[in-house]
Amino acid sequence: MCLLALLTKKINSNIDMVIIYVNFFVNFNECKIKFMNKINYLILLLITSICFAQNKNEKDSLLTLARNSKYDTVRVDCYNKLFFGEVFSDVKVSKKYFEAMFLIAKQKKLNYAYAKAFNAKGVYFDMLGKLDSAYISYNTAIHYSKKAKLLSTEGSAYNNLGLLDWNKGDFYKALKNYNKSLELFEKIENINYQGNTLSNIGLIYDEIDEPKKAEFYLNKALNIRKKAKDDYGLSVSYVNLGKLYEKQEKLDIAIQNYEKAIVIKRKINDDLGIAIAKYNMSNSLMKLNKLDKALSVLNDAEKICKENEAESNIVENVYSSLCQVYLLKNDLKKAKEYSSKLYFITQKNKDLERLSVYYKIESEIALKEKNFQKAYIYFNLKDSLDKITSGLEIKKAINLYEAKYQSEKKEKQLLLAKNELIEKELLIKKKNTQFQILILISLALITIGYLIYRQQKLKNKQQEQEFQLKSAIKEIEAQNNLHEQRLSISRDLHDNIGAQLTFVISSVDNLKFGNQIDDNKIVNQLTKISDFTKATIIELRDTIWAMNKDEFSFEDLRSRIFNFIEKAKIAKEDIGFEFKIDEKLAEIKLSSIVGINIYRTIQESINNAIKYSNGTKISVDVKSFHDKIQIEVKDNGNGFDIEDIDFGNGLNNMKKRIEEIDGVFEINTLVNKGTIISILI
Amino acid sequence: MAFIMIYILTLLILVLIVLLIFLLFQNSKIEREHLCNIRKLEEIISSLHKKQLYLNERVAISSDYDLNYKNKLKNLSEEIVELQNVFISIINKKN
Repeated sequence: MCLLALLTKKINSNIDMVIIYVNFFVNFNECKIKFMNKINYLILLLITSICFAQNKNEKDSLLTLARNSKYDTVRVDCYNKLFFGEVFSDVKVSKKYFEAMFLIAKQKKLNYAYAKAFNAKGVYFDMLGKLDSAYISYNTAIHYSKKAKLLSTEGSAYNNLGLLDWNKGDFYKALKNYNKSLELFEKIENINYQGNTLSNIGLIYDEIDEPKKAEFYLNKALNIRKKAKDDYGLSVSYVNLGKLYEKQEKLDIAIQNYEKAIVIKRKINDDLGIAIAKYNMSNSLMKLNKLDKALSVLNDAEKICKENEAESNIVENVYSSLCQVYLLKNDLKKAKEYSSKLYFITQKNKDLERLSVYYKIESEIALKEKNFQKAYIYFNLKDSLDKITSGLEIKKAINLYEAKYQSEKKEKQLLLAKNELIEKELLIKKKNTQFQILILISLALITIGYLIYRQQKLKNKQQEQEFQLKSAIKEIEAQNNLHEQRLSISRDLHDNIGAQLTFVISSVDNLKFGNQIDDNKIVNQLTKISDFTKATIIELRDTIWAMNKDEFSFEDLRSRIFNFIEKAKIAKEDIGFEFKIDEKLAEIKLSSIVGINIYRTIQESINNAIKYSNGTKISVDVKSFHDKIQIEVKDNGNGFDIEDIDFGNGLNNMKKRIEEIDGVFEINTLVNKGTIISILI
Repeated sequence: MAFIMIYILTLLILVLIVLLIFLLFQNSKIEREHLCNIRKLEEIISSLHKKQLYLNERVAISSDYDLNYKNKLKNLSEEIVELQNVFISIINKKN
């Protein structure tokens, strides 16, 4: 009856009929109507088909749209809706709708249409009891759904296949199909479908005695339904969990779950659902020996069933439970009354399982009445019936163990595959590590090789450089030694020259003053030779002076020039000499070559002025000029025309000496205007 | 086996790294020593060069004097020759 409420609700909304069908089967299972014989199954479908029936207007408008729409997918959807509207009321009529879908699929070569048509055809065969054909149709629907990438239809087809397998007792296959269906619903993020599939998986695990897994999936379904705000689904989940906990003897928790289910079912006006929850709750209460409460709950359930004309299997359950309560309360009259009612319904439904329950109850009543013969007869009847049904149970048990075996086998295979995968990963990891280490070693070796090569190259280069420098040092040292030897020889030579020249002077002076020489010519000649020799000696002394000094200070130079001017003053008394030197220059240091060249040039300039200028005044002015030294030797003599005269050895030597020390030599002169010799160093 | 191999390879890498560091250190030491040697040699060259310049100056002064001395001695020789001529002419006149 809970199914009926859902279907009524769904019909009112515009949800695809395929979805309704999926939900129909899902809830069908959740109501625990499983392994029932085909007759019961069809009865239930006939009852529920009323709810699927579309009203005439809706049907007509869908038909018009299906015929006239220019969109093929819309047409297919319309036929699909029409099919699901018809299939539960008139299976044969519904055939034309999926045939219409096939026509569109063939004409347009549309996988979308094929997928939906085959899924509908599967339901059609399922309804006719042709399970093998249904099985093929669902698989073909899956094939076309994959082609059309129609995940919802593929998921529905897997769900329908799962239902078929579950009903056949092939739990392993059912689980496999439900898992595939769940995977697809997760992909399209449809949490309503996910909730239903998870719930079914939980129920299968419950059936194959895997309570932990069952609890896990049922709780998962509960949470998803909470998230989806699916009140109906939520109430069903609470009932399912209640049953699970009841099985585990967690009776208080079971009762709490049933109570929660009842609250929700009241909210959504699902009266039959309340009846089912109450009936289940009464079982837990009986186990807790709360017989009065159990009776009250069952009376409520009976009342609801009567008011809503509940389907027989729910009433059967309520009656059998009422019998049990009355038996426990020792109210045999009432127990008999409900036992008769139960018998009437079981006869009507030809439900062997419930008939066995009836026989058991009758046997127990007879025992309480101490009518042992009657009790014996009912017990035998029950036993015989159980033996008949046990054949079915054995088959069911075989399937159960087969499912467990397959499941364990698969798990073992999975574990083995996982181990293999882990081993392979480890091997790859090891190889990768080895490869990385080898790369590191190679890099290190290359770097070491390069460093050794570089070290060797560096050593060679350094040795070459050091060798070059040492060679240069040796060369310079050799040159210096040579210069030193030459200087040593020249020093000896100068000493000899000095002695010889002194001898010449003294000889000439002896000749001149020791003998009475009247001839002026000879006297002049001897004087000339003596002067010449003296000049050479002076020059030699100057040279020795310059050679013995590492460097000159301007002060040294000044005293030397001053001495020279003093001598010149004595020689030429008619000429006025003036010598000026800037005091700032006193600290300046000069190299010996610079010093001797400046000295010689000044000496030569003064000599020239004395000899050729006929001037009365000669001045020497040394001053600082823009970080340089400027020397001017000036006379007030005749001067000369610079273009007319030919530069003699004296002037050329002066110029050469100054240029040798990177200086500038200039002569400024005019006839009768005197001469200025200017040196800039 | 694989673990031992990885262990050996890791050890080898460590040894190589140590060798690498040692070589780098050696390289830098050689470079430092070389630079030090070069600096010393350059200092020697510089001092020798200074000495060479100093000697060159002296040689230049000496050479300059030698040249002048030659010229002067030539002049002196000419004067002496002239004096001899004077003496010869006086002797001739006396005879």
